[in-house]
Amino acid sequence: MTKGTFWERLIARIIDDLLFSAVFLVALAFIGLTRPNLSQLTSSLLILAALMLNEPLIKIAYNSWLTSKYGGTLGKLVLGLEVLDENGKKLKKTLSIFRHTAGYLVSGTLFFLGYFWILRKDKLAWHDLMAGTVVIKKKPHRAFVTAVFVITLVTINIAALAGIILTFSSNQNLRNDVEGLVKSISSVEIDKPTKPTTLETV
Amino acid sequence: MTITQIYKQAFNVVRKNKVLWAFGLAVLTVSGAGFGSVFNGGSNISKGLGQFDSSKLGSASARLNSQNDQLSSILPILSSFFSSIPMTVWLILGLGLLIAIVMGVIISLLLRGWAVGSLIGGTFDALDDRNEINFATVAMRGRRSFKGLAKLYFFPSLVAALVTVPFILTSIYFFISNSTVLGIIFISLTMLILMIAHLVIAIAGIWAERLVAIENMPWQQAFWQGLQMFKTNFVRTMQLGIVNCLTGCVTGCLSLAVIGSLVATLVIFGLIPIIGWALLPLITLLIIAILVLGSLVTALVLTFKYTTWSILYRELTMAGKEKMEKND
Repeated sequence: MTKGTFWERLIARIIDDLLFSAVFLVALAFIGLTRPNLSQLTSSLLILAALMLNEPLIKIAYNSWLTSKYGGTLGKLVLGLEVLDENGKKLKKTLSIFRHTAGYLVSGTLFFLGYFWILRKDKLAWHDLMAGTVVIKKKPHRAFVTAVFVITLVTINIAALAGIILTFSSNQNLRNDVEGLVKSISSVEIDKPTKPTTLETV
Repeated sequence: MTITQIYKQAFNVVRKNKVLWAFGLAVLTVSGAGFGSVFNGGSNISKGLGQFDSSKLGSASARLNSQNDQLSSILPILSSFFSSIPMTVWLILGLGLLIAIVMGVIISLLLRGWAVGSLIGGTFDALDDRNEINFATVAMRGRRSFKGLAKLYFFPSLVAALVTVPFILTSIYFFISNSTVLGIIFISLTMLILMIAHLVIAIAGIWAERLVAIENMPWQQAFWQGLQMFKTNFVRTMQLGIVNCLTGCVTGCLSLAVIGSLVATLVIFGLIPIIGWALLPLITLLIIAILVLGSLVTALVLTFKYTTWSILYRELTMAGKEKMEKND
């Protein structure tokens, strides 16, 4: 069995990150489509923030569950990679959680040195060495599928971003609310007594 | 064993077992320094740099006063805006925040327990020579004891915090009832007692960590036995603690001196207009190198200190066992 290379694993990671950012941007674009006023937008953003606060937890759950259930995250599966334990079997849940928490913690220290360790001959990251896991290339020749996935995800991200810009910039309700709020705050500043000039002080 | 011998042995262990460096880095990332940061921890460069400059207090409070009026005028506008947001949204945000904080604390405690357990287990395996040291074996050591260590970090801290609250409330009461002198005396005494208590708990924690990680002892038993070990081996513990502290200070100062001289050289060259811009990539590289080397040196010092404590622990427990056998 051939092992997954550093570049393949990096692309897998990028796909996962693109997926997460796509979910976030699409959610924002949907919020924009509802043409919210400032109060509604703030409410939606606060709910989104509550989710974003738990993003590390969601990522740990995503990585651990998919790896123990299917042998890898979406990115890895797209590239035909599979994470196996030392017996050549799929990871147990506890080992998977360990790999994606403690393992990633150690690999991430010192400017991700543990990840760059994959560039060595044995193609094992520090989290692989710690958990006794190996990432193998189960399905070779996945360049086309990978390209389709990457292009699709990049397109979704760009489209969502464009949607956000367009919907928010054309939302007159929101603009009026923001302008009203800014105006009422700035009027408070104007009411404030001005600093005495040097002449007045004298 | 003298401290020189402990240092020599620890130096050899850390030099030979580079895997331990990675775990030192992990401990550093998760906890700053682990239990007993006073004696265990790496250099406090970052903490020192981040310290508050009291001379700025006056100007800051003056600025704060002038901004207060402005803020109090804006506040009603903002509060009326935020009150238009439904209560359920705030509840969802609060719930999200609560989950993030609770889970964050739990995960970081468990990771800290694992990282420290691995490092301590790794140093013991390295001292035993016969055991193979690699990522898998050291990580496995941590997996055996991480829950106990997490409890050991959490519960004594919780108790300490709960004990501190009444003292703080009493101090506030003194100040409110205009007994400023009494308040100051009370706060000073409280601070002194709390500092001593913190120090004792921290040093006892050094032994307790090893009792949990090596002997698989439950955390409460380990904590009390750690206190007992500290009491019976007070002089040796304090000796190594102070020497370790000095080592940390010297390493920190040396690192600062090296960084300072490099930065000073660059600033001098940077003042020359033509060279100034050309130096920009070099400065970027230098900052990265400083960050990498700084973390590595701090992690190395931390690993080294953990090893010195492990060596002393082994010596003390072996001596204790021999004594017990003789008595039998």
